[in-house]
Order: sequence, then C-alpha cells, then structure tokens
Amino acid sequence: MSVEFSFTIQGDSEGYVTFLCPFCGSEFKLRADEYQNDDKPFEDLFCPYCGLTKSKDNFYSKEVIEKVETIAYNYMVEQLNDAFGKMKKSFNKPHSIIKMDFKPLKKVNVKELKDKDTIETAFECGCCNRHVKVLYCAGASKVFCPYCGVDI
Amino acid sequence: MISYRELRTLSLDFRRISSNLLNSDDDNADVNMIRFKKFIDETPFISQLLHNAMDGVDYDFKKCFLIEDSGWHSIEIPADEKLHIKAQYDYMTFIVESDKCSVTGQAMRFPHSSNKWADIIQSFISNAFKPLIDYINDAISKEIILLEEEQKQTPSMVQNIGSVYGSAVQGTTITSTNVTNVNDNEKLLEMLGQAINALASIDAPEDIKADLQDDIEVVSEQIASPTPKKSRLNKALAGIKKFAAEFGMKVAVSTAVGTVTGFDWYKLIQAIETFVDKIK
Ligand SMILES: [Zn+2]
Ligand SMILES: [Zn+2]
Repeated sequence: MSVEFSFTIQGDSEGYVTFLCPFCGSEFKLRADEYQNDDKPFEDLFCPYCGLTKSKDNFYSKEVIEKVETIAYNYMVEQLNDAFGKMKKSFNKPHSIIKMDFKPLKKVNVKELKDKDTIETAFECGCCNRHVKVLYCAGASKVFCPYCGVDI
Repeated sequence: MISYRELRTLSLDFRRISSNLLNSDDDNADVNMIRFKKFIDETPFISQLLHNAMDGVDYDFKKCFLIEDSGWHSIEIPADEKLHIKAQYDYMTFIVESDKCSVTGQAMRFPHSSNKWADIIQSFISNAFKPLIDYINDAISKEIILLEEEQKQTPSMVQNIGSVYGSAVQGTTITSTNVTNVNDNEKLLEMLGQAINALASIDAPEDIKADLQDDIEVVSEQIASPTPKKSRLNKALAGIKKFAAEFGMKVAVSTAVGTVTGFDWYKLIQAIETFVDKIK
C-alpha cells in the first residue's frame, strides 16, 4: 500500500531547515530552495561536521520523523474508524443477533514545524555554490559541503 | 610530502570509503571492510599516521574485543588511545584475513536489539571501528588546516588568475539571454493554477494562505494582460517569495505508509522573475 501525504516545514527567516547527521548526531541547516532544486538532484548528503555520507532520507531531524509518524498514525486511525464504523452499522441492523459497540479512536494533534533562528554561521561551497549553516568555531575543524562533500 | 590538493581529494575518498563501510549490509560488509583495510594500508599518508600511532605498541586486541568467550562478545575500550587504535586495526586485520570469520558472523556475536541484518551489522561496525575512522578523518582535516595556514602566507598570485577566468566565464553566460514567447506565458499560467490547487493541502495558517492566493491571482491577471505592470508584479512576487521562504519546504519522506511530496514554489518564483525581467 502506498499513500501520499504532504506537509510543509517552515524554515528560519532565511529559509533554512534543520537536518540531523545519522553518524555523529549533530544538527545543521540547509536552504530549502537548494535542497529541493530539481535542476541539481542528489541522492546522498554529507554531514558538514564529520564529513560522512549516507542517502538523504537518513538526515531528517527528530521533529520531521515524529511528524511523519503522527501523520501516518492519524491516517491509520481514519482507516480503522471508517472500517469499524461500517461494520458496526451492518452488525446492528434491526434483526441482527450480534450487537457491536465501537468507540472511534482519537487522532493525535499534528504539530506545526517551524525552524527558529539560531546562532549558526552560513557557509557557501566554492565548488557548487550551495549553502549550509553550522555551529562553527574558527580554526577548530573543517566544514564539509553537504552536497558535494568537499571541505569548504 | 602530500600536496594540499591531494590531501583534499584523500579526505573525500577516505570519507566515502568509511561511509560505505559504516552503511554496510549483509551482502557487502566483507567487501567493504577489505576495501577499507586496503585503502588505509596503501595510502601513504594514512599508513604513516597509523604506523606512528602503533609502532612499538605491544597489545593483544582480544583484551579490547572480548571475542573468545562462548557467550556474547563485548568491547572494553582501553584508556590509552594508541592501544585502542592498535586493537581496532588488529581486529580488522583478523576479520579480513581469517577464512572462518565474516563481518556478519562477528556482528551476530555482539548483543543487538534489532532483528534487521543491516542494523545489526551497522551498529557493530560503528561500535567497533568508528573511533579508528574518526582518528584518521581528524588527522586529515588537521593537516588540511595546517596547509591552508601556510598558503595564507604566500601572496595571492593564484587569485588574480582565478578572477580573470571567472569573468571570462560570466561573459559567455550574459550573451544567452532568454527571449519571451507565448508558450512560456501559457506554461506560467498553468503553474499558477497548480499553485492555487497546492494551497489547499498546505498546512499553514488560513490568513497567510489567503494572502498568497491574492498574490498568485495578481500575477495571473498581469500575465494575461496585454500591458503587464512591473510594480504590481514585483509586489505580488515579494509576497510569494516570503511565503516560500517560510513555508515552501517540500519534503520527500519515505515512510512505512507512503511518500510525501509537494509543489515546487521555487520553480514558480523563477518563472515569474523571468517574466518580470522581460517587461520593459
Ligand atoms: Zn556527522
Ligand atoms: Zn558543494
């Protein structure tokens, strides 16, 4: 079964959205317009801190995963309520022997996702000109481009 | 000595091959580990680094990786980093060179909570060998930073060449300006129609959605008009841009139940901008 859900994440004031590295657990931000630019498609992301790479589905933040799970849960609740509602009707016809009672399941509130402005520094990659916001201490470490993986 | 350029390439190659190892599953874990081991042995910068750390260190890796017992295997990390590096390197050599041992076979012997092969293998490789990967990765980054600081002290001859080249490239792009045609406008109107449809499914406050709908309608009117007004278009465009920056993140998430998709607001903004540019 495949169902399509659609939702939006509100970026920070400059249109950046938060991601999470599956290797080192650090958060960074990418510009929504660059992340979803169909002219420059990409499969894998590099973590700007540790520089390791994995397919981009692995970089969603906890909040996004939670939201997807909530939306999927609510969809399931809707389907179940619908199915049981119909069943209840057919069981409870006037001369039916078996009676059925059923309380509909409650849906969970879906939170709105909004990225706050934080103290990260924005970097532009000299190679592909795309951007990343990271927590940065000058000289302490390298920052890697999340799209092409080179050091910035 | 390794050059700045070679080092940057080495950094990318090493991170790619390490990621492949860390992302292994049952089918490719052994191959990935053999490739990783070969890479660190045959790359002079890394093998030298490891020699420097391990030479003269006498330590049995089975004190760090407790793999002899009949029960669950476990890891006891020694406090001295050099011992830890040597233990990881020797354990990896043991797995790669032994006929009876496979990465999956070893992974199964460590306590695990998932019942998926890929999870068990990935968590084993990460627990057992990630510190070695981090050690090498950090050493490469530090060397890059050192070389960058040395370079800063030499005058910027290279930069001049760079900027001449840059403007030459820009020159060629300027000549290829777009020409308006009716087709483009029809396409744009179609996109605007889709945008209004997409609005309904967006989870944003109603008043913001109403404002956006007004802006889209203004743009549609102006495009259909024989004398489009630049100022009105720009005002509406600013509204659409503001919305896209705040709410336009299209997320494509695969879940157990399905996928998530959305409308491409940025493509629309680009198309409107191209239209506005063409108005005299
Ligand atoms: Zn990371
Ligand atoms: Zn890049």
